[in-house]
Amino acid sequence: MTSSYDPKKITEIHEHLHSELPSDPALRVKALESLLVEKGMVDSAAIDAWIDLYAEEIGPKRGARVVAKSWTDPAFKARLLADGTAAISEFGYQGHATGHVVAVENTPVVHNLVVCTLCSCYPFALLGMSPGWYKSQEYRARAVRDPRGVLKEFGVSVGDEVEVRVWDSTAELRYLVLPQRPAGTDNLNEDQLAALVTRNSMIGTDRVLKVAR
Amino acid sequence: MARVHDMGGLPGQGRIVMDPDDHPFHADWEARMWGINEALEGPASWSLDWWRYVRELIQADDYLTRPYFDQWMQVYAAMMVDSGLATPAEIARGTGGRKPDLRKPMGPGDVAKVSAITRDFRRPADQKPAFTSGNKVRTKTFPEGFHTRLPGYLMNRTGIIHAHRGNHLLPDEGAKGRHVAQHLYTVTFSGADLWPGEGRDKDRFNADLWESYLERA
Repeated sequence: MTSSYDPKKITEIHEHLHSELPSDPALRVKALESLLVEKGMVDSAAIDAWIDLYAEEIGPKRGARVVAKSWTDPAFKARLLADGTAAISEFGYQGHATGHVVAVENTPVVHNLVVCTLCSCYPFALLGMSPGWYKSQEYRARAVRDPRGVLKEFGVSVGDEVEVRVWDSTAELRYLVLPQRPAGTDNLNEDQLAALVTRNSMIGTDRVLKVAR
Repeated sequence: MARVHDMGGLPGQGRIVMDPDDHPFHADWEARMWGINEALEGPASWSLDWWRYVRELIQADDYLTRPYFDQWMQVYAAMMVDSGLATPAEIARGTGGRKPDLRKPMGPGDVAKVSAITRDFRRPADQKPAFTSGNKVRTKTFPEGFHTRLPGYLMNRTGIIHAHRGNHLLPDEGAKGRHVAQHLYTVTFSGADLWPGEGRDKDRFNADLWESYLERA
């Protein structure tokens, strides 16, 4: 059960699989699961449990709570900016792909945007599943070349006075954008503030958070 | 082997397609595949970077056209064949072959605990970092055909060290099954340098790069 670490061998295997596996991905995945269960490598009930956990418990609401706390508690914000992983652990949100969380803060003259140009790295335990567009060729290619054009497609316009900072997740660091607290929210509590924070604002494809009137 | 996955800065890309329903899975099989990835521990030789490398080696047409989670299926299938755990025919049929000597798989009761495990990729360093914040560095150019986390659009460019992030496991070695750590830095590149003449002068592009990717500029 070693691995060859041999790209030539893997290329040949990929070609072989390409011609031998069923063409319908649903059938391919079903066959893979059956085989893994038969070989005692996977328990289907554990797959169900993972899907339920991410559907119900682990999602962008976690990140939103962290952002809201950073708006209301300056000491927490300082801890979050100093060590993102330690700060989210205060909420019990540590988990997948959050071993090295780095929070980056938007200001009136700074906007942050996160991408993974090489694959699809994302802080899963903090933001849940990544959206499809985050994994798309178009986003991965353009976020590091034309970030303002990308933002425009998300309905975000940033003025010339704003510096756009793009963060390409090339290592195991995972970036969390801290959006700005919207004006007119002084009377809101932390839960109400968290409800304003969108997933996209924590990736950087949203900037001005909306406040319900 | 062209770097098909290395998409940063590729010209000629169209608009970003957004899902109207914004659901992470578009079919049951996508959720199943994601769940297999979570519930399967696999042999110790299946390192994270080996997994990434096997995905990068998917035929270019498949990489560019097959749905994201379908590529994951292909990665696991290829790693199983490579490790002698199954033949392509067994994977196609979904049955057959020997049962490997692996520990009992994760059960549903283990999932909450496993989901809260955070991996720390830092290792103790026996050397001091070569660079500090503010240093000017030049990135190297690596040939195609091996796994690296230095993206093509950042090869042979000049940047500034923004922060030292500790001594992190080096993916280039992890994809060969070797656990070697090196100092990691966040490096900032200016839009004017990366994309001259494209009106990006005000923008800053950051990436996390290992010491062996960099030399003093």
